[in-house]
Amino acid sequence: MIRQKRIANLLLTLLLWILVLLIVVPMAMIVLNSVKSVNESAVMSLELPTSIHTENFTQVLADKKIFRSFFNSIFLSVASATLSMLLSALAAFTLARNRTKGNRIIYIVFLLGLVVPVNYIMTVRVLQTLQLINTYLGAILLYTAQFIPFTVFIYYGFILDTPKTLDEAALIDGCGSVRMFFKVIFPLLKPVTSTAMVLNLLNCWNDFIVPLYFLNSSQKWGMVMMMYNYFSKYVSSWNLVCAAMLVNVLPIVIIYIAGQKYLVSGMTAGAVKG
Amino acid sequence: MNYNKIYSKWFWVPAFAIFFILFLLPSILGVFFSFTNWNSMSESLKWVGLENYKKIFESGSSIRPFANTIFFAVMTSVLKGGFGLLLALALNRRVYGRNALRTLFFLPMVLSNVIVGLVFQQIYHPTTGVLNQFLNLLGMGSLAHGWIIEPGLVMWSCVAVEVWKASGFNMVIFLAGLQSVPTDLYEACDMDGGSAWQKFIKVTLPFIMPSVVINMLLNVISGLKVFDVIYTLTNGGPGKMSEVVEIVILNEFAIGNYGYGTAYSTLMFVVLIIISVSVIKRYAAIGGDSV
Amino acid sequence: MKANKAFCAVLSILTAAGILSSCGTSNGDGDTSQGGNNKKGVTLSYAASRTWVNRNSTVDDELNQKFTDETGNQIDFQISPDDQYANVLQTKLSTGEVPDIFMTGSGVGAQIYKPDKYFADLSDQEWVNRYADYAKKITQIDGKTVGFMTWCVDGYAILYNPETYAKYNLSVPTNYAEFEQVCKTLMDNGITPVYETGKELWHWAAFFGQVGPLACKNYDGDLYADLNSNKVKFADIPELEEYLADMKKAYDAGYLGENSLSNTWDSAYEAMASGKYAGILVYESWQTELAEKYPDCGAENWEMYPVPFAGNNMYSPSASAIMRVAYKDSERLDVVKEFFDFLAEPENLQLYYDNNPALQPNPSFSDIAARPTKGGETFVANAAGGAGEDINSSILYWNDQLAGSGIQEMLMGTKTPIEVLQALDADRQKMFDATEE
Repeated sequence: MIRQKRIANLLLTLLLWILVLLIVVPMAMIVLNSVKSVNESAVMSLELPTSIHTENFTQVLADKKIFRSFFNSIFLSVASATLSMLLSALAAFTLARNRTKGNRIIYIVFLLGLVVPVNYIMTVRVLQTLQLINTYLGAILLYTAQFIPFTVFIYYGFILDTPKTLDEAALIDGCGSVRMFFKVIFPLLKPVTSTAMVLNLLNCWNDFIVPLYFLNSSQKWGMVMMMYNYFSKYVSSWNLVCAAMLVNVLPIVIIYIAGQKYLVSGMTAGAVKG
Repeated sequence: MNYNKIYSKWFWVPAFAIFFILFLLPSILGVFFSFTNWNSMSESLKWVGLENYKKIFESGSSIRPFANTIFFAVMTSVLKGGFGLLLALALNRRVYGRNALRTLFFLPMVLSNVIVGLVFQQIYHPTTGVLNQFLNLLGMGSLAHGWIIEPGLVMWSCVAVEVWKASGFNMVIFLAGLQSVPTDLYEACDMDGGSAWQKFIKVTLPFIMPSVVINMLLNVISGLKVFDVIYTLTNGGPGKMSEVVEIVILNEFAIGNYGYGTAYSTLMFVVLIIISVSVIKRYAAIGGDSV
Repeated sequence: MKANKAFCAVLSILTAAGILSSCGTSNGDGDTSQGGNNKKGVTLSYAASRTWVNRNSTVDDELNQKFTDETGNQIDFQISPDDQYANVLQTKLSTGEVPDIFMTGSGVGAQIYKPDKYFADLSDQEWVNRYADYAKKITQIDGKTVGFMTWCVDGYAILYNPETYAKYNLSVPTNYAEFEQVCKTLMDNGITPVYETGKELWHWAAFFGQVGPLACKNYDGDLYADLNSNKVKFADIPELEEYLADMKKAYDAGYLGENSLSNTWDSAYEAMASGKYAGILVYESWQTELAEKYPDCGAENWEMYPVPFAGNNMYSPSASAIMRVAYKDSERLDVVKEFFDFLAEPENLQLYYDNNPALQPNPSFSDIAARPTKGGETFVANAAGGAGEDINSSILYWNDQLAGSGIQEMLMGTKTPIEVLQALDADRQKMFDATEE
């Protein structure tokens, strides 16, 4: 019986590693082409490069603007992911704990954000009224606003599952409710928090709509926009285009790998039991 | 205990304020334009009532984008869910390199859709693409196709890319759901001599039902809102064979037909609300009183 | 409760601080804190679509930097993905967040951005006098020069390798029947007659647009004027339908290749250098780009002939080019004019054109030596019917995307040629309706 199980597991392992090739091959193509010569990369293929051209990367990185845009990306992503995480956790906490009729409606309104179409012109007008147009703060708040619905959604489910007794104990201990939340409840939410952070960082990193429409200075734009510009600069030089893609993707892959061990546990708790 | 004191309403106000002012409000204000003749050429805004909506329903060319969008949403939802579930079930067992596998299967989610579109354009190319070359290599040259130029195939090829990209996301949510299945129930089922299928139906499925619903909800929403995967892969082509609603909206906006474009996006919004509300209601029925 | 109040207080302070700081930054647009070694100056925002600038080079960046070095004024280049550009620009115009400089198509293409409301009048600028005649004409709207253009107008025709044609005893076809003969011979010898980059909608639109001059010549009156005043429709013009029908025939016969709908524009260099294809529909200077990328294929000696469909035998230069527009109400309009003056300096113009081989055959400035290509010369020589402007740049509310996807539909058999034209008419009618009210 145990032996049978082992063999089954072995076969399954084999199958999964073969399947994973399907996932990896397209990404391997990017990596392979990023170190080829121009002519070898004219047609994107899986053939191995005859020689390794690391100068593709030096050429892409030679642009000094890339570092500024890298820090812009980091700043915008971290700030908006953090802000939406903190605000959503707080909101989801009250809404999940105190389910009055009013609070349920508020929660449903939050969920509307998952489906509503963005209207750029009206959004610009609102940002103009608030004098937030073309500022980092405006961009961060805009991202936050866009991330809040999904983030509230996953926190809500998780919080439903944590015992209420903790809140009461904390209150009796004399904590004020904000302090109580951050001292007692928030640490318990760590799995969802990591999930929310990873997903929101990903979304923010890959977004080009907000800079394009709401930040009228390329000094404030992030890495994705740089990548777009490389596409035309290096037109039909797939090796450089691929190198630019990799440079853009690498930081976010690192963030993902660092956060991924929490991803499953966060989802466990959050979305699934919602 | 006075709950209003512990669970202060101030907690949700900041999140709600930012969300409402910067996201919901402008979007809802935008709906107003769908009842006007707003376009980039005319100076004055004129109220036209339901004229734009009438045009959408009367125009024969609106059928394909809607049909394509629904096809894409349904197919990707089912396939992403199916593959995601299978992967999750497999990776919930003690296979070798489990964490590495989980990481790799999720990895495509990290890529921006622009990159995905560009790369798959190359993969699908009939003569120089890796896919057909691979089929030829295996001696299955008869299966080689013009994946994104044959009208009958193009939507399937788009679906395949989305499934490639996002099955890993479904997997993660299912994996999470599987953690909540109590192992002693499996043992009990083993004792009764239940088959693997019976175990799945009787034990696993009821526990992961919430993940099924959540996956389907998110899949359907993202499927109906699909834009950049298809845009970078086919630009709606060949002809209008793979045109989806969001591409029509972009094209209308680009030529300055704002009123008409907004009517399209409002229509989508209504469809999305109807679908989401019904899913959430069902969700609430399964997950107890969560909404 | 105290904590709540404190929390709210902190939040409101943060928000207030944010609003204040944002005022600070938005007023400080002109500051040049970055770098420090620069003289004080203002920053000009400059919006463009990505394929219009720095194409295959960094010359636009270099010129901007040079301007900064000379004057201390910065140029903030805001480059959009092509698919977003029209939308971004429309959004910025209608919300008042207008960039100091933005790029648009010239001629009728500029109309959708309301020139009278947003475009500064540049008629009195020195460089206008140095414009080539065509450039002077197409940068004007209602008699005023509204654009600074460093571009080139030339026509699309079939570029072919005369050696290949000679090898099989082929001569330049002048009508569809002759074209068919040429193609058949080539195909019998294993050569695809034309490499069509049919994934690109605009390329099909360009293919179609070359019939314009012929249709004009045969029309009783001014065809383009009548189309633009909506007196006549595309569907009424028999040449257009016949030309489309010939496109379909050529496509079905495989003269344009088996998988032309998969071919991207960028893939054309490699394909044409490979020698597997005998011809391609391109603009006059394309062969220079190809020769630069693949020096061995001898592309600089290739020749061109007009697309012989529907009996077309005319030279069909495009009247459309990309120009820079100055925002009329910009506070920095003086500096924008200074920037245009800078770009118009002969040395800088030369640098620009040297780095843009595609723009060299027919530069917009008379003081830049034109470098006509062999293809361009033979295109004219093979055009017995004379010359005229193509459709794409002359027709109000023309849209390459819509035309291209309509043509693709025809090639797949879901639309007949006349239905393609009717659909284009219907789309233009929408715009006419909208503006009449």
